[in-house]
Amino acid sequence: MRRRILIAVIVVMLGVSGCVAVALAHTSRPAVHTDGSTQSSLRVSDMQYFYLRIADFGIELTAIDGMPSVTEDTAIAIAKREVGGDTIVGDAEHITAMYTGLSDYPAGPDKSPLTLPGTTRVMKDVPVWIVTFHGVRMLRSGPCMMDASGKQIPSTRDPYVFGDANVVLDAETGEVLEGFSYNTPSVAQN
Amino acid sequence: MRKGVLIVITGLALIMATVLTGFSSTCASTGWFFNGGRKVVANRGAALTIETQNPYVVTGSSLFAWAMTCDQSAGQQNYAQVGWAKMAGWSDPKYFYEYSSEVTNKWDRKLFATATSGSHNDYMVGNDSTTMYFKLNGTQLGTLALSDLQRTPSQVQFFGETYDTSDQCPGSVSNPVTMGAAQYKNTSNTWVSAGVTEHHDLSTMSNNISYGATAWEIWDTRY
Repeated sequence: MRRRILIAVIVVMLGVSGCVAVALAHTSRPAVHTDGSTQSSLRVSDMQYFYLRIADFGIELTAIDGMPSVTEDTAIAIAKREVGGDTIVGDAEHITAMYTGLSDYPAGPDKSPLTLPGTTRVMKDVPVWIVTFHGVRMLRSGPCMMDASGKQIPSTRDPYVFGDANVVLDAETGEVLEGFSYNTPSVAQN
Repeated sequence: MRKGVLIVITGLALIMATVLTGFSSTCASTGWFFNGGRKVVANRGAALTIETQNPYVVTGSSLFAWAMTCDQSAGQQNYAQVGWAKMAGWSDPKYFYEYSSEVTNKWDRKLFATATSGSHNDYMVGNDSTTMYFKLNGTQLGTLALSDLQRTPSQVQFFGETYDTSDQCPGSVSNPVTMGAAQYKNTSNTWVSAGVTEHHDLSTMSNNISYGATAWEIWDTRY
């Protein structure tokens, strides 16, 4: 009798320990990264949506000649460190890099270009790499949800936004200049 | 025999306790957690001076400090905000603005150069009849057409925000983050003081906000 109880206790404890260990292993598993999805040019549908959305940010692009000092691979490597953690890099459906001239007109195209905050750097016709992480889930900021009386209401929204994350780097120095992200409807990813 | 049973059970219990302790320590909860002030008022913008600091961010998480104008009618997340952000993997925070409309299904975020720790900067998000603007120390960082938002702002919020309970809420006991000159743009298009009501979501978040304050400090009690 005593032996049966002992066996039962051991089985239960091992079972619980096993389940917890499996759960623990699952939650701490590192993301798998597949650099094989990296592409050097934008797909047509991506390109159209990209140009549509960059206007929202006051960004204008111009064709640029010559060879950048920073290689494409280096630009992508820098952007991967910058983009906000391994999660986005691992999630990206594909990664693209564009060498281009970039101007930033935050107050509108007829106003002065942006001077980067805290610097004297004027963002007009700057040779840059724009590295885009397509189809990623980005953690959004969120309002504290309250009703009209000021009473907090629980949020049922997904804390993640699905879209593209872009990192803008100086093509001569590799310095990260800006970043911009936008949501994409699922059809835009096809 | 009985002693042997006792030893085996004690050993297994110790193993379980160790595993469960490790499990709980790796399972900090996530969500949106806020510390600061807010005001329910019809408005056309919000402005706040915020000190920049460089808090600890958990892997996969991000944190923010911002001024926001928002409309949460029908439980929707319609907002526009400007401030500083720090994401996992960054050595320093950056300036940012972000907006979201569940009416137009549009979400954008833009990030700028490093925000220097210890600096105090004036952030402003507001709109005129057609355009919403985001400003840092009086300089425009971005604009968008109001038609991209299609909302009627009913609150202003001024918060430090974290996503993971293990993130450091901006500020520490000995060096809190200061927030001041809280204002909102009223429906007559005049910027006025925004006396706020205190709000914090976690017991580790603290502040010294008294009702109606326009300047205060926030901090994380663990630091």
